[in-house]
Amino acid sequence: MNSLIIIREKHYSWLRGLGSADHPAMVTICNKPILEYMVDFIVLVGGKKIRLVFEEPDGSVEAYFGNGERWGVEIEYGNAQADDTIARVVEKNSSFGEQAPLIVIDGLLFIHYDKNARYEINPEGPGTGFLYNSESGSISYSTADAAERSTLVEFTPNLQVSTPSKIVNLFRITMQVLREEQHRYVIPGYGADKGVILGRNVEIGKEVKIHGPVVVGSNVRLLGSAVIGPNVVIGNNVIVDDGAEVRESLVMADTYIGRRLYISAKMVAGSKVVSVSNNASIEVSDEFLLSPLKRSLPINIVRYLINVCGAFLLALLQLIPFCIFFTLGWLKGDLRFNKSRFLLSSDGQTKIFRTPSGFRTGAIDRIIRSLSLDRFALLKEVFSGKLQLVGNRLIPDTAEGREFVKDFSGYSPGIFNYTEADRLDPGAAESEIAERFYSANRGFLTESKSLMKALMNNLLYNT
Amino acid sequence: MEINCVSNDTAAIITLCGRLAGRYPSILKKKLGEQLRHNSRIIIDMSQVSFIDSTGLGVLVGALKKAISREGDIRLVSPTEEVRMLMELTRVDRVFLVYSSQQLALKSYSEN
Repeated sequence: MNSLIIIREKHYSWLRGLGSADHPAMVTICNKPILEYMVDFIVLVGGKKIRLVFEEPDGSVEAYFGNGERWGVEIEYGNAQADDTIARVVEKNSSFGEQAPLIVIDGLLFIHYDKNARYEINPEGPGTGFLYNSESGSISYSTADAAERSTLVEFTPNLQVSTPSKIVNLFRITMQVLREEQHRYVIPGYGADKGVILGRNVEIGKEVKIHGPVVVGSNVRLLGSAVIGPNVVIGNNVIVDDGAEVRESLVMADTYIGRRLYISAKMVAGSKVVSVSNNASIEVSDEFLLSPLKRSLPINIVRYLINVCGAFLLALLQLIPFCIFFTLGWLKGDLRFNKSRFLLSSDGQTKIFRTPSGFRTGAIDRIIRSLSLDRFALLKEVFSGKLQLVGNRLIPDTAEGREFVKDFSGYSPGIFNYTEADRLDPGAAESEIAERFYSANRGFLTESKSLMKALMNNLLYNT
Repeated sequence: MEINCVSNDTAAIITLCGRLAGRYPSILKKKLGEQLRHNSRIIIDMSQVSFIDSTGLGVLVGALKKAISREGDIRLVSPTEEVRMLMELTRVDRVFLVYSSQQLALKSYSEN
């Protein structure tokens, strides 16, 4: 048996603007594309070849499904015009559907199949019939020697079909799968206790509470004392910050949820929040509260190389002024240094740093601070990987400091820090919020911006 | 944004119209500070606030704390759905009493 799956713009246009980087037709239910459920269903009913037909070709769909090897079927790709009828699409793909029964799924439909069930199609004779037909889509079946007929032929057992035609429907289907039907499908991830499924590379803070049923995607960080569930699906590449509570909700991929936020009965995608009870939506402008998360490059080695290049450039620029002013200070007997132990990570690693603590001569002191020459001695720590060029504020190794970094798993101190880049008071709540936010949203552009801001602030406000 | 203040014996009523963002939270903060000097019972009509950001919410919460310290309160009237959602997200909805009309909010002060 072969299958045509026709996905038209009108089926997924409502998904545009929900922030996902992938094709809207790759919308997921419990972190698995609806298209993949459809492919699974075709395989279950004996399909051997599937052709995905779109109005516009899309690399992300082809990259995901490839040639279908993963599902043990052949998957091909085809085109349709917006106004092509099903019959026209079948005609255009006539060589594909030849000499084999053909199932045509028109629309983005969620088929509530059971992977453990056997499905048989009971045609009354040769011909074509609709197994499902609605305004949002249809499933039709043609026998190999089809003639025109419109008798409904049914699967045994009967199938429920849902149409995720708007956010409320998508939410409802997801909750149904999550609460009642998890066992019927292959859902990506590893099963943990009590209806909790976790993807790859999931970081869970020591005080995070998870109440099943919950499905968590890959590359997810649940920080501090976040509370997740019940009835929550979290997509890939999501950060839920300390103290946030998410219940009865969907969190789409690439989203940052800020500290102490409360999300209940909502769908969240980037900075957009939609209420599933009344479809009201807001766009949150404060990135510390809620924001899209850029997919980051492979972190450690790339980040290290960028830091090293930046530190090297800064060292070159600062070398001559450093030599001049520090020689001057040493000759005048003005030069003083501080030796203090600072925390390097949330697991308690420390190091003593020796930093210049200032000059008695006010003017030279001001010049050194405005040119950030007081940080010159720390640049070598970037090459050794102990410090970032820009990162979190260096926290002294005290009882209070240890308490602070204990539940700050993203803590990564830098020579320049986010607090000074945003000109915040180091002791204030805003500083802690900013430090955690930037830690969670690290990227080349963000850190370059923070470095520039820190250097400019020192230049402008220390002279 | 327009900010209109009307005082009576029971409470001061501040009606907001527009977007409580940008420079307007600091203007509102000043007005609330002035009102609190004369009357620690305030009603803020939010029915025509189309947008609020976290700074605007912060101003409301700050003013509430001041009002409570003077044994008063700040009560809200009919926040729009968008404002209500942001208040729920940030849990600010748990600290304010909300009424569907100015009359009901005034009545709540009278009853207290």
